[in-house]
Amino acid sequence: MTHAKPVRIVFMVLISLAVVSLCGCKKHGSSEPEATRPATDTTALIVMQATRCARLYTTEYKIHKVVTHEDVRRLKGRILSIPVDMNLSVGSRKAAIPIDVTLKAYIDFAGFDAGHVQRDSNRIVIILPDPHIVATASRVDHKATRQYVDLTRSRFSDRELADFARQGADSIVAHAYRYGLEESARRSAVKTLLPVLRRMGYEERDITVKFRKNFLPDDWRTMITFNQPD
Amino acid sequence: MKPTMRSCLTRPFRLLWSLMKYWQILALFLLAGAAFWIYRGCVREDVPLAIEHDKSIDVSPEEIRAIRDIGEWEFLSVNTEELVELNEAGLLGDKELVRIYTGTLRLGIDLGCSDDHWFEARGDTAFLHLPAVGLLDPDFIDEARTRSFYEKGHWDAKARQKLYEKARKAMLRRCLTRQNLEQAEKNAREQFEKIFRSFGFGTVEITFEPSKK
Repeated sequence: MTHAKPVRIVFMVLISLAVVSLCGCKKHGSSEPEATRPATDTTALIVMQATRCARLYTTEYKIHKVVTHEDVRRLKGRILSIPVDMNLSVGSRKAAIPIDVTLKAYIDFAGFDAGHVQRDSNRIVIILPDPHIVATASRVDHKATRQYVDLTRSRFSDRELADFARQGADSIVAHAYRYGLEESARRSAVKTLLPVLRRMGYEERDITVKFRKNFLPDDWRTMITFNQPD
Repeated sequence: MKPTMRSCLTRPFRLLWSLMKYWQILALFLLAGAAFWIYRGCVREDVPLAIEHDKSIDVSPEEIRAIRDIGEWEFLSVNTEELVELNEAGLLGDKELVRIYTGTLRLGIDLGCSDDHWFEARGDTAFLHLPAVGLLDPDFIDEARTRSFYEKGHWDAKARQKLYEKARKAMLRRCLTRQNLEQAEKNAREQFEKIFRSFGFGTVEITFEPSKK
């Protein structure tokens, strides 16, 4: 009976504190109008680099890929020189991220000079500089991104999801040579240059526009670049 | 009298037999020894035992959604990175998401937008009437190269879309400037002059359409 009163006082103080803290949270949180809240969302420029160039973009490819990842924990290593590699059944996580990458084939005319043009009275041969492929843009479909996570595991972080998207874009760019961009680039360059050459007085049958050689898949690997300046 | 098993044992064996009464202590020593042996075995290995998880993506197909011929001449490329942050106050604490976006704004002229009459040859002179210099592609952010800088709290797709739009607007504001457009136009003049001189023209006259605001 003698202890009942102090216990009740402590209990009342705790309830009062909880009520006061909840009120504080409410005032600090959602009830405050959006306009009066101090705007702290900012943007900051980190890098800006302008490069002069002379590139004729001839073909555009839009590639779609659903990047998937399954995160399985494995116990790997050696115990007493015996190799160990086993799945740990502590739950798995899976992510599916749809991405779209824009690839463009271009011809760099920065080094184009009279040496690339062979002419006689009624024939003209244009030897185009080597074509290149660049990933000019990419989009991640966040709305369609899905995560399947077991109860024992944590969700994928923003950093992990960004890393998977980057790997997906790299994979698309690495396979770009498969899409037959050489022929598309040449055909499109002809389409751009043909009206010019016709207006110069050449007949279509007397015009030849070609690359210096037929490129092999191995050549293309060195001609593919990411969205970076030279 | 038939000798018993115990009488047959020699002295050291008899001692060992008497120690067997304390088999629990013996078992404990044996267990500790075995654990130490296994531990040393694991530590000394070149490939120590560890829990690993694969961070690489699975192999999945790629699909070509669209192919189109374009005729875009790029004369200035502006490579930029933008740090964008989003804050939100909530009942269970503040949330924050900071991402760094990468983009390349390509400035030049799109001959796909003009007719075939942009070029005319009169004797030794080439007359070029080119469209105004502008941004070639409105999609210039390489979102797959985005770096997640800081994340506190759970963020949904809408928030990430909002960050993307903010980064895009900031890049446009900073890079699509009059100075850069003028620089691109100047470079376009120089490059077209060089190309048409290579075709054999002595003089190249270039005019640009006024830019649409």
